[in-house]
Amino acid sequence: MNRRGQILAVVALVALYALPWLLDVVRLRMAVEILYFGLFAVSFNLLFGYAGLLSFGHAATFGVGGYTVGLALKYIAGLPLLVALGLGALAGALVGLVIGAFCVRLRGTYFALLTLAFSQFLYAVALKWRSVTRGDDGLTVAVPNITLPGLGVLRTGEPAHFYWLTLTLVLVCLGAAWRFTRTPLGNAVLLMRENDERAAFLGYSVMGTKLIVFTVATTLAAVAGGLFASFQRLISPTALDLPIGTEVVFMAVLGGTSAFLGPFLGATVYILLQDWLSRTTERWPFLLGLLFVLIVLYAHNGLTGLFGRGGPVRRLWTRRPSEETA
Amino acid sequence: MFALSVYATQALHGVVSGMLLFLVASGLTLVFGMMGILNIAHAGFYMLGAYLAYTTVHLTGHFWLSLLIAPLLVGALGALIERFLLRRIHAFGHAYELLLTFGLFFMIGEAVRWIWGSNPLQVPVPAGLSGSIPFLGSQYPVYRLFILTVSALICLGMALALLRTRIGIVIRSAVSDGEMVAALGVNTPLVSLGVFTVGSALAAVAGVIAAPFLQADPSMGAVILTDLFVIIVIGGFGSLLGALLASLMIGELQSFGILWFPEFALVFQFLLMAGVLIVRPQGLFGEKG
Amino acid sequence: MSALELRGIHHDFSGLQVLTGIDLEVREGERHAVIGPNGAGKSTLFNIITGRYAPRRGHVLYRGRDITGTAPHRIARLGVGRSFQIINTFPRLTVFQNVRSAVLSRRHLRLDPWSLLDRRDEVTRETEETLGLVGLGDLRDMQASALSYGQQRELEIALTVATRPDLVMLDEPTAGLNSEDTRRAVALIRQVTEGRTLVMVEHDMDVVFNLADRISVIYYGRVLATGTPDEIRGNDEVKRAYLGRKASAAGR
Repeated sequence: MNRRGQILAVVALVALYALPWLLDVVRLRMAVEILYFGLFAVSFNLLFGYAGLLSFGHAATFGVGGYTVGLALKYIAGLPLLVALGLGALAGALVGLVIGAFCVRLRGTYFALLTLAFSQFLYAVALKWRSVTRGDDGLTVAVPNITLPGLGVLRTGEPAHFYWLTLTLVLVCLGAAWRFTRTPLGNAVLLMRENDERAAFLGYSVMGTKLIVFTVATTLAAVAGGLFASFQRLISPTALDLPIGTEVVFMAVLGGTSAFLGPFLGATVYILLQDWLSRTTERWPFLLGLLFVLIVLYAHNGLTGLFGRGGPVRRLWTRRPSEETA
Repeated sequence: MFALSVYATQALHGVVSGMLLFLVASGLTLVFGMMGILNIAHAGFYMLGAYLAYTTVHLTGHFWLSLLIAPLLVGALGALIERFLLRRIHAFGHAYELLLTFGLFFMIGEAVRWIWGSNPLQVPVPAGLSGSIPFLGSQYPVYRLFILTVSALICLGMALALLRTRIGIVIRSAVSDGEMVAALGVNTPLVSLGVFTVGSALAAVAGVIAAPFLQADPSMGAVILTDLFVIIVIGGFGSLLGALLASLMIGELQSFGILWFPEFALVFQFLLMAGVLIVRPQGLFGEKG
Repeated sequence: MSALELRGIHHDFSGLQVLTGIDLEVREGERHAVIGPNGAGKSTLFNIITGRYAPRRGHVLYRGRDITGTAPHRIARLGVGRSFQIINTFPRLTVFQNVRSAVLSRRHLRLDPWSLLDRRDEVTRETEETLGLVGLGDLRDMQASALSYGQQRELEIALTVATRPDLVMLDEPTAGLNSEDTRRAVALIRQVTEGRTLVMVEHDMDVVFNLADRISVIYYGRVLATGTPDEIRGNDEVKRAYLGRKASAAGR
């Protein structure tokens, strides 16, 4: 990043952390939602935009993350929140590894359907296994505060504090994911999308590469799910169901799958739009659906595809490998 | 004797459901075989058929009219979608085709809620088809037999058309090897359009027939979608025979599932679908790749 | 030890016999051309050698090691590189990124999740070297799909040799090229296969007689003859079955 980009980044960072003083509680809560849904959407895009794998079942590990956090906090007395979130991520990784081992053997529509099958299966489990998950009623999540040595107590019940926690975790995850795309492994993932057969003839293990990116994506989704559960203080089977699984697809496509942060932008616009539309008209789902169809037809590179030319700020959103200067 | 007739009744229920499912699944699997697209909106066409039946009956009082109107309107919708939307999206790849059909399905669902509301709507069973007749020791609903008859007739008609007519052979060849067919000079885009339109119309007919039986409900699209996925996967993408067998299988599974393990019917279906995808992705009768 | 040995390779597609008993030996360091009419099974043979399909019967030995039916990526890692008849690059990546992907594989950095691509100077240097070798240096930041056909063929070759394979397999490397580009391609192929073993499927007889140390003629699923260009030119069976007028036209 050049000088100008660095300055802008610092300004953006300060602004993001200053948000609790600039927004009312309702908007702040929305900001938290945007953060973890944004992470969720970016993780989905690691599969779709980067590896070329369209998953209709990405909600699976979002839910697994949420339930793991809820169950861990419930059954392990005195468990710190960060550890619970870590366990959620681990669960997401393990589940992703298992599901991925089956799914990455397939491609295209078959892959999409199998991921759907697995996530619907997990949804059914969450729904029926009442003794553990409380089924339809959902599991309340008792979120403890975090004691920061030397800095005081982060009261997770306060929107501002939870916002800072979420912001920090999401920034760390996004940073790690961004870095991932700049490594040889990240490059290998691109090869999967562009021409996995040729990659094999160059020595790349297609199954191995796909499985790794699948697991990375599901882990990040689980972190997002854990944050979701901690914020809502409730986790129910709907977190694993189709509406969430398809919402994340919408967010990614809306924002643009060609840019790393495109899906994050998509999540932001989607949540804001949904909020505004739902207050304006009852027909907002139809309108959002229409928007989605129009985007797919006429702007399939999403908002970043539409607005992503030139400008230093925009370069952050649209920096794809093919546009980097080596 | 009594026990036998309970099982026989359930089995017959299963065949009826299965045939109805096949009516919907047939169009879907043909389109996938020919064009490589899994048209998720197909479930929406089925739903539209049911709702159009409701409105037709509501406005004119004639159920039989809806058997004409619904397929006509929905077929036209399908044609427009294929010609102007799907063709456009083809260049972006299969993923976007899938996304588009999914988006359209969602829109159809919301449009239905908008126009007809979120509550289920009753479509009365047409006069002459209500009531039951004696069958295997107990009474069996006439309307279900009607569903069975109509589905079987359409199925037969399809089989004859595909096996005996020239266009049928063209379609079957296009499903097997579209490139070859195009190279032979057949107007593949026109055939695709035709198959898509007829498939959509068939889904609507299924919806019309199902309406008095199941009620017109905004979630009926999503409910049948699950079944459709399972059927297509098990039967094989592009295989009508596979779709038929899989539909009957699912019909029976649901029929007896409700009896024996109501909690797990859906789970079992998804496990079955996952299992087939893992072990034999091309399904029982599908072509590889 | 021979670089490549094929023993009794049989293959069919749903009953359609394509290869009916191929026995072939390619010596280490030689340039071996495989010729034959279309549909004779040459591409299928390539696919079998490089692991895309497993033959119905028979064995493929690479440097004495049985690689029959081994997965393509494992065969590639053993030092076998292949190019494709139909351009098979990474379309939306740049020329530089295309070749770099091959270099990364050669350096066993396929699954490296730590280092930053931009900081890996030796990778960048090696990529630039290969690009320079092939003559695509100026086009490094162009998307592969935006290249001209001739340039894409050069990229094909670049991808194949960037992994520095000991056995280079080229599938119709000059297909569709005009005579100027073909001449360049031949010079390039000769240069990059110096000290390596080359197996090449080709239709252009000029190219074949120019480059090949030995030629194998495949005729409808079996090897009709193997020998030096002169031996093949003089072979009556071959003349009858395949070369015909082309032999006298090539006359070298």
